Amino acid sequence: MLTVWAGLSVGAIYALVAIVFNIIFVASGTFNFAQPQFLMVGTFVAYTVVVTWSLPIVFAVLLGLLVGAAAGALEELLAVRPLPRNGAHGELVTTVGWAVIMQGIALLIWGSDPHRVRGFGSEHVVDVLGGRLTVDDIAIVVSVVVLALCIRWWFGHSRAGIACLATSEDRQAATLRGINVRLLSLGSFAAAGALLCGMGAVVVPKTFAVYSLGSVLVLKAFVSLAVGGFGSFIGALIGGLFVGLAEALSIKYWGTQYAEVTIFALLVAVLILRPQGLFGPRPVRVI
Amino acid sequence: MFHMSGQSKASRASLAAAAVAALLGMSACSSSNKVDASGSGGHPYRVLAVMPLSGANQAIGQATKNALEVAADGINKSGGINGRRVALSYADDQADPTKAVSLLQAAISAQKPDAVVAGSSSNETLAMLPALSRAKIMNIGTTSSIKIDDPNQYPYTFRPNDRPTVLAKADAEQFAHLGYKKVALLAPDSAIGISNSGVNSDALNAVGLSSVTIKFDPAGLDMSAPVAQLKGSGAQAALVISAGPAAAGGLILDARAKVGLSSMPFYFDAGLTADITKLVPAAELANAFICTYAVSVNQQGAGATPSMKDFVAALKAKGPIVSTMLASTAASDALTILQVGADAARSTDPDKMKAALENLEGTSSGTWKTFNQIKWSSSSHFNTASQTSDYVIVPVGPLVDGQIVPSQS
Repeated sequence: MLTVWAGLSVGAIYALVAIVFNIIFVASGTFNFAQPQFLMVGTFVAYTVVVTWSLPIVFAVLLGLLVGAAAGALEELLAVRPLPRNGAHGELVTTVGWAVIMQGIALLIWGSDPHRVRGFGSEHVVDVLGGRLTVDDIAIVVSVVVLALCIRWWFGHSRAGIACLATSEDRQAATLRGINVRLLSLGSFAAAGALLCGMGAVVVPKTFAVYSLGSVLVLKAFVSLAVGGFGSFIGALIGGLFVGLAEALSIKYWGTQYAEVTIFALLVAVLILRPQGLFGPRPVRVI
Repeated sequence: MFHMSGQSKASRASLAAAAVAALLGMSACSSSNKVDASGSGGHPYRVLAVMPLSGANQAIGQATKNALEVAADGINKSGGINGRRVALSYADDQADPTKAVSLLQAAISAQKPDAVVAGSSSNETLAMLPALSRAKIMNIGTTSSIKIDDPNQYPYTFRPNDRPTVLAKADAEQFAHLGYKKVALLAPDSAIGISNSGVNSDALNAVGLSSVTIKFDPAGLDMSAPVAQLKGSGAQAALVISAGPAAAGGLILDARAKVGLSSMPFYFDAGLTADITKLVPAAELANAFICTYAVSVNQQGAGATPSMKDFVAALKAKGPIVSTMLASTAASDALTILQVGADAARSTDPDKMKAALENLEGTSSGTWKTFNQIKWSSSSHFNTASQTSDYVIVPVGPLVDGQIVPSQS
């Protein structure tokens, strides 16, 4: 059970990034490779607020939200908006560039050493269903599940959320119906950046504040999304937990060297059996 | 009246240039035999350091740079390298082996250096070694892959450090002395991890201990799964290999607490360069130890030598010391190799320096900072004279000015 809990707590972090990948994907049709870097910056914001400034961690969340929103909006304005919408998907390159810039800036400001930050919960180990994990681990899993459900609800029930879904269906038609798709795109980048940067304070007790965190997460979060299904928030949550669990169990039973092989074998299996992912929308054949 | 043809004009010009070059060469030779005690002027002995001064590994690059500068100041004050002032220059390879080779070749084409500090990682060094050997350039540094120690292929490469087998042997003997029968080797799933786990496994077997190797992902976010494999393995202790500057060391101690193995002693080898006391709660540091070089442990107490105190003070004057002291002392010793070799050979010719270093009987006390004595042979250009007293096992403690201050656990 220890391995199951370890897999779920790491999987929740993959799921978090995958869910936020989806926010931008649904609202603007862009896959933002820089997204995990916002979580990395959030961990350093938490370090600065809690360790350097000795302020309560709630201020780290608030500052993370502000920094993430500003950086996200800036990315949309500088790295995505100027690109022509001709189907060339230039944003796949520019968002990678933005990720490199963010990582470089973090390295310059905070250096390459990892830093520990106390979280909302506790570092004490507790027994749950025969497995051992920290209160911080539980906080990560619970908060990511709640976040996924809230975002799912918001997209299905709020006016702006439904506008995002309409835009993802047909950008031109949405524009003709009076939806400001440029504002939605800007808003989705800002919201996604704010969410991840704010959540930095929640995950930092587990991951430490370290500049390489984004690079570690990007591939596994992408796989989580592909397994769960692009466009599905519940799929991203299940996909992330599934990938984390598969990784931990393969390490335990087969060894570390087989972890990535296992994850990619599962991805290939899912894509063959269900190309749209476990929870992705079924492709509609237009006649 | 005769007019010189263009060709004869060119010949005369060539002759004149050759004469000037010969005169310059003679003056250079004569100055190289004269000790320039002031450490200034003359024909400098040019040392190029190709290493990461920006990017992810800049901390180790900066530590090496500071140590080289402190060492160069000392060497220049004591007469230079065979009378020639040491002139350091740098090329920033960002720890990229491909970039390192390009920078090195550009430097050799522009003005061939006398010696090169080749990288801060073995990958960089191994990429540069063929070019250095072809160009007959002395190569010094602190990188320590066993592949570097190949005098037939890389005759001008010398290191102040010992082979990894020596430290592994010292650790294995200590484990046997402590009464362990089986030791688990927790190694990163990387080239250095695989290599060093093999070295440590052999060393443990040689003293009659058995071992089990468990690999971990050095970039992983949770080490519970690999650490959980220790349960039921029959190991009485674990040796964590090459934890490096990353968070892996802290995550491993976190996992030990989760798995419920807090009473099992965990030993980190000298590959741990992060200050893990900053990464885990104090309670998790119990039964955690570091197997390292004595020089990395607090040298500022009553037992510290004046030269070591001066060295640390000089380093601090250049900026905060963030890496373990071994990185700085080894870089300093690497530059000292050139002075010792040139003094013994009475020349800065690489072939003569190589022969002199291979046959060096010994050096005066205090020459080296990392070891009491350093020796090389024609079959090994790594230090073959290290002693048991050069290594220590101490409880994990904070890193202060690059030195581990052992905790009281």
